[in-house]
Amino acid sequence: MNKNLWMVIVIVVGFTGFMMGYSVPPFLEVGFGENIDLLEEGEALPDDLLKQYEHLYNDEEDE
Amino acid sequence: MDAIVTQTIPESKPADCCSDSKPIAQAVSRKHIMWVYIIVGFFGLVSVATYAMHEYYLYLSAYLWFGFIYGMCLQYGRFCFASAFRDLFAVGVPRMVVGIMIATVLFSITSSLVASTGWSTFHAAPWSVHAVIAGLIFGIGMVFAGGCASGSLYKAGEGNGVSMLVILSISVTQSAFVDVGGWANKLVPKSWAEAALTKGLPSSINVSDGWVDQYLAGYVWEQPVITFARLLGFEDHTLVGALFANTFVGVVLPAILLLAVVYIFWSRKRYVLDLQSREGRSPGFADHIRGFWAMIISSKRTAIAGLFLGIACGLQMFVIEGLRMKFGVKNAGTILQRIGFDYGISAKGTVFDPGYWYVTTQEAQWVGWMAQKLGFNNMDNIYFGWVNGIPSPAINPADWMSVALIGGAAVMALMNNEFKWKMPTKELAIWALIGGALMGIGSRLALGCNVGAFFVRTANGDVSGWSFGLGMIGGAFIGVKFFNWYTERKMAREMANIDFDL
Repeated sequence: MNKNLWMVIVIVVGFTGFMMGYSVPPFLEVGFGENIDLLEEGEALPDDLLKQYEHLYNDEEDE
Repeated sequence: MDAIVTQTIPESKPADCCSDSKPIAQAVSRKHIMWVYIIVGFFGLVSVATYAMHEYYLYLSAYLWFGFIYGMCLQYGRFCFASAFRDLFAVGVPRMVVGIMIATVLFSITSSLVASTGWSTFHAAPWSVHAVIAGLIFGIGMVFAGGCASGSLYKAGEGNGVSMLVILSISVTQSAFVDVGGWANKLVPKSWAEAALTKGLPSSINVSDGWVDQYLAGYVWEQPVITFARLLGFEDHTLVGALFANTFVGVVLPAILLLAVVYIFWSRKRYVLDLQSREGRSPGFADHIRGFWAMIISSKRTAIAGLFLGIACGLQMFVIEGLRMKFGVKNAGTILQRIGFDYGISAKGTVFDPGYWYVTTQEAQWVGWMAQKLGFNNMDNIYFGWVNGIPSPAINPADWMSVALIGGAAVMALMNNEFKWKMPTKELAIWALIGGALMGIGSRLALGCNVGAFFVRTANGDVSGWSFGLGMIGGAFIGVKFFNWYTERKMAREMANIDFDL
């Protein structure tokens, strides 16, 4: 395969890899298969999670 | 004159053909290489710049880069359903059909692995005869247009003007079709109209006015949602349900059956003649197995593309679901609102955000958005107003995917010396518009195209995917037969007008 195609592949893998780095940690935290640690419907969100979303919403840096 | 660089590239193929390549040394101009880096650089810049504005834009970039991968794969594998069935029915070449089936099987394996983690973004569709009818209309349309929904996108990336017209026709037709009311309301069965009123839709969605609204709320939503796992008594998100029921029973076995039919009716005769001429004997069962295998491996290029498509499709589901968890959202509509875009978001706060590869809805959305800007009310129907919204194409995640898909196909075409601006002739333009319109109508009746309603659904064990596929094959057959009749008639007329001097 030619080097230009390799360059494109490296760039594409770089971006998708970066996004994988973003999306994999939440999976590890919540779990897989039948061991998924989900909130029941109507259950309140934990305070720290609410605070985290508030920071995201307001575009604030993590403390 | 452009300076050139020499490199190994696949042999150029005839338009719409699917032959595997033999590597030969050809020259790719520096201009082509420059454009490759301009396109990749543009998408890279968009991703980096928007990420710098807010990390929420990463969600849109995820769609962008997976779309780019799809475009590269589609162009490399010449992955077009219209070409596949036209080649099979018109000239008896099964290579592309085989490749598509292999790709479907490979995708089903990756998607079942994702499904078994419990984090698949896929949702099965309602199943009834409507999927077959929609597939039939879509199949006729794709043969008339000379490209399916995904095929038209990658061919547009090759500079094909006919495909661009097809995309335009699909987009406009869908957008208009979902909002058709008035006289069309008289065609709605009473039972649909009554059932639609019981769905409790908000007053902003005028469900009594619109054929598609009443078709969706009064008929489609009443149909059962069936997967092979549920038919066999398993859950979709368990390993047995996903891998055994949805993949092995729902995809591998039907695919083998379909491929056996293709071998018996299209490939066997050629293989037997070849064997008789080589070895002077009639084939036994073992020979037919070898012939079947030879047919499978003859579509190597499409199968390789299918393998990477399958991996990318599975990974996209995984990445999108991970980002939803990371950002604490269930739909991109929430993200768009958080970053300050609330125009065109549906009445329930959502936008079209499938979480996997999809083609047609985002095409309808950009026309719907434009029509809304021009003063038409497109938000009073279920399709736009209640489910998908019509956000600006500039911040529509699925639109980012389609634009990047065209870009990815262009990059691959440029590197393979297969990019060329081709203007449509008047006749081809008319066929493109007619075929695109039929595909647009078929897509909305089936809630998807050859990708969303067949490839993705089938690979995820959704029974409605095969129903659409059967209709699509039937439609392609009718389309090919019609074209044969039309071409013969046209040639006969032209021949009759020629004066021969003897």
